Amino acid sequence: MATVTINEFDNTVIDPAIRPPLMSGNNTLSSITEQVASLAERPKPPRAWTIAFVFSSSLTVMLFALIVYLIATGIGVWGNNAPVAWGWPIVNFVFWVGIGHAGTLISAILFLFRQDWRTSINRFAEAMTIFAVTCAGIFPAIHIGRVWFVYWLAPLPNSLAMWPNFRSPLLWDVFAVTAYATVSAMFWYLGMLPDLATLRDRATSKIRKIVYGVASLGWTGSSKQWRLFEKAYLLLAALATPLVLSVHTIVSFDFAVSQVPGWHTTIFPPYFVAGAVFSGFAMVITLMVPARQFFGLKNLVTLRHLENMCKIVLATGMMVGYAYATEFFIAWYGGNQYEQFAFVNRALGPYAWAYWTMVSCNVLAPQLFWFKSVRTSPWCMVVICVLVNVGMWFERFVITVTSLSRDFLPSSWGYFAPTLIDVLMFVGSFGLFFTLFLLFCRFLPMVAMAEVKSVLPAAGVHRMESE
Amino acid sequence: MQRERRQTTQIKNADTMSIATAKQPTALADPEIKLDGLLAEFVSASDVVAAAKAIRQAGYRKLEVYSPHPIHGIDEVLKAKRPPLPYAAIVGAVVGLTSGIWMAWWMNAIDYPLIISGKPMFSFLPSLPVAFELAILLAAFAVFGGTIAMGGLPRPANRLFRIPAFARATNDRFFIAVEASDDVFDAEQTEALLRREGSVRVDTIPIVDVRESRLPRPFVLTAIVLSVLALIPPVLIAKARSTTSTVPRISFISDMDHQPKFKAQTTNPLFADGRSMRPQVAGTIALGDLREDSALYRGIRSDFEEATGSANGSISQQILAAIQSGGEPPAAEVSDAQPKTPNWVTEFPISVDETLIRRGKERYEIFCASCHGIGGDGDGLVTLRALELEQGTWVKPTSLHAEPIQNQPVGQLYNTIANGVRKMPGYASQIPVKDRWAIVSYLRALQKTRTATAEDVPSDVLPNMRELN
Repeated sequence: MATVTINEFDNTVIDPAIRPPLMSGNNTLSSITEQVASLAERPKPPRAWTIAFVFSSSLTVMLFALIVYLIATGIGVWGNNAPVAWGWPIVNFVFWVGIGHAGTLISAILFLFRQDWRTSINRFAEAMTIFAVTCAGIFPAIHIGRVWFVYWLAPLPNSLAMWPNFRSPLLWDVFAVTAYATVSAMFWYLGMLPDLATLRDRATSKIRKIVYGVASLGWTGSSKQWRLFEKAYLLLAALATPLVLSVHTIVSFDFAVSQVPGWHTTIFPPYFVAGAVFSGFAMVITLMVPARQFFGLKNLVTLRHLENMCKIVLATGMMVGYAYATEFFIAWYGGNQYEQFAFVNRALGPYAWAYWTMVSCNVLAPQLFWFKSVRTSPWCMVVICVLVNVGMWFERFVITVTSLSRDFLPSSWGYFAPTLIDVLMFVGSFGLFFTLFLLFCRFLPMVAMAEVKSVLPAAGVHRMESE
Repeated sequence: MQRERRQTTQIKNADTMSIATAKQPTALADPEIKLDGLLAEFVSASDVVAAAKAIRQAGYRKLEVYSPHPIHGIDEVLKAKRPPLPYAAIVGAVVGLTSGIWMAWWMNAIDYPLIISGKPMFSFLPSLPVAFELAILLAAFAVFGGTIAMGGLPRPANRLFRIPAFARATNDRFFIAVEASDDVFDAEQTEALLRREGSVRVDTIPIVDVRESRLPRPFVLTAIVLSVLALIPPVLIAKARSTTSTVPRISFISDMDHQPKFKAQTTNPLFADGRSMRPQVAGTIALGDLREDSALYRGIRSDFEEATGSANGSISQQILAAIQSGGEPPAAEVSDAQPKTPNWVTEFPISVDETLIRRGKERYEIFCASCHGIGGDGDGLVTLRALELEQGTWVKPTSLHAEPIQNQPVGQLYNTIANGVRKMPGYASQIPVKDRWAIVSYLRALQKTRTATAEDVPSDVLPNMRELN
């Protein structure tokens, strides 16, 4: 385990005279390697990990069993029915895709803005992205009913001589989500190559040598490879930035391009992107606080990292709150009675309970982050961030279900009720997410060692000279 | 700064100690090993940059620096070219963008025109989301693939990995490898230069005998067996596709091919008679069964079919031929082989009253008068105009007051309205059955206006008619 001592330096206090260090403690190249790599090298995982893994993997097994049941029986096992044909599966899809966004944002956008503090948390957040997108991808894939025709989503030549409709946002969504998952995975893997090589070079058993040897592709850390690596990383960050903004924009088109009152609004793209970043950062904090506690990473992931993320949660939370207000304003100002009804119905109709849960979790709860004492106490922020994620799930529920349940025709109004399968599948998706996450914590470098090393003061000396 | 310097000093001290205790390696211990180059170890990034600069100044060109993190400034020292990855990204993005737009255009407007709410088959803006995502995806593929390929990856085996000290290149040490093929390389002098420039350890890079790195025999055998086994499925598929079989095809997912329902001509245990096809319920008429009433629907008496028999082909063919003959007076050369004149209905199959005749008048003036004329003399407006144009394609309608038409039974008139005659098209699709009979009834009234005598008029009406004149 780590040999460094965590000093008491508080880097959340910003004194303009001294630049606060990004990490606390006396970190050296070898201490960082030791601290991070040893987490992936322990012969036996800690008891807490084992318990969490058994729990989450059994939920994953339940999810896959339910998927088999669903495919064998048909999607009637869900609560989806006219008029609410998009129920929990789509709510869950948008929820998980949104969570993924913080990972790319931290790794790509903060990289482009030269926010060096990101190096301690980017690997973690990128892993979260990949796992969240995996969970997200399951729902629309099984929602299509006859999953064995899932390839019809792609423009493949087929015996029907038909092609998908390129004017449909649902097709755009297929392209956006697959492109996002692929690019995120490449970005994550490329960034991890040097660290996999570190694990390979430290491996003592033959199996680990072979597995990490194959995974690291024979990385040596030559200046040629670093040159390519840095250029590629920059380019991928530059590509991932517009991509991450486009993905949730296109997800919002699924709703905004239709004509259902409550969906047909131009504010959806920015509103969805802000919401995605909001929920994603909340999820990063929710996972990061226990992880740094249990894995002894407090010197690398400092309070300042967490505080910065809390500030982003506060900022995006207010954007989301602003969007809620704008929706109401436009509904009134636009003078469309169906639109007005949709919003009044949201706040005062049969789903008012969901609407006000959403508002209190998303708009009111993050306001506590105005207080520095809240922003710097890890467990307080976990509570708030869990509330934020509850609120963000309800946001998608409110948008999807309230709009569909009461549209133009009062004769076809209805009230959506989920089935037990709906609930268990959503719970199961959390199981899958945490299972993947725990495996990541167990076998892969949780912190981007090479990147952290390059922002160490020892590396920085030379960096400043050369610039 | 002070803190940093202290840190560096600590590292150096620690390293000096470890080197002192370790067995000092000499690069040229065994002259039998063929030398491929030298690998020098350094403890800090600044040391390795300084050393690389000095070695380049000494005239070496084939050197490479290895480090656990990117060292900024090393590219300038090594005079390395910038990798051409941005160009790869641009190519990927352009290919993605154009192929996205092309797919939307070719697939939805050309190959399978897809009509969506009357929108244009192709419009630029809706093709952009897909084109944008593809541009990003292909650019990312180009960057990722370019990095892997230009970085010489994947390369799981590498001579450097055989040097134990090199394991720290991914941890906390920095290395310079100088190749023996460099023009100014000299084993002893180069080693001395490296040590002078601050290297704490110099190793030789051996030339590895290829035979050493052969795959173990079990791996080769397994690979051969697996590749042979992998050929079986494609061979089976090829055989199945090129031969015929009497066995029903395997359907992995049956979709709705097999439905739990009773089909025609099968038994059904649910009914007493065991038939799955149900007979007609007493007192009901099935849809379309009213057409069995030949007199009403065809204007032909139902005993006609029995009368004609089946000598001249099927009944429907005979009727068709009879209809086509148009009820014209048979020509002299007509033989017995000619189809017989149908047994036309002579009495109206529906009851005729004033309402019906008035309805017929209205319909006649809508559908018939444009050609036949209001009075039925074949002088409708269309006819007059056509004759005026003298294009030679117009056949003047027969006057409805002509002798043959006067003598036609009502069934034949009905048939002419429904199916047409000569150049006149059938009006079955425009005029319902009852309206056709209404028109026939009006036609009879119209004809009567030319042939009727005073005796035909009721005596109580006659004096008034005179007055009207």
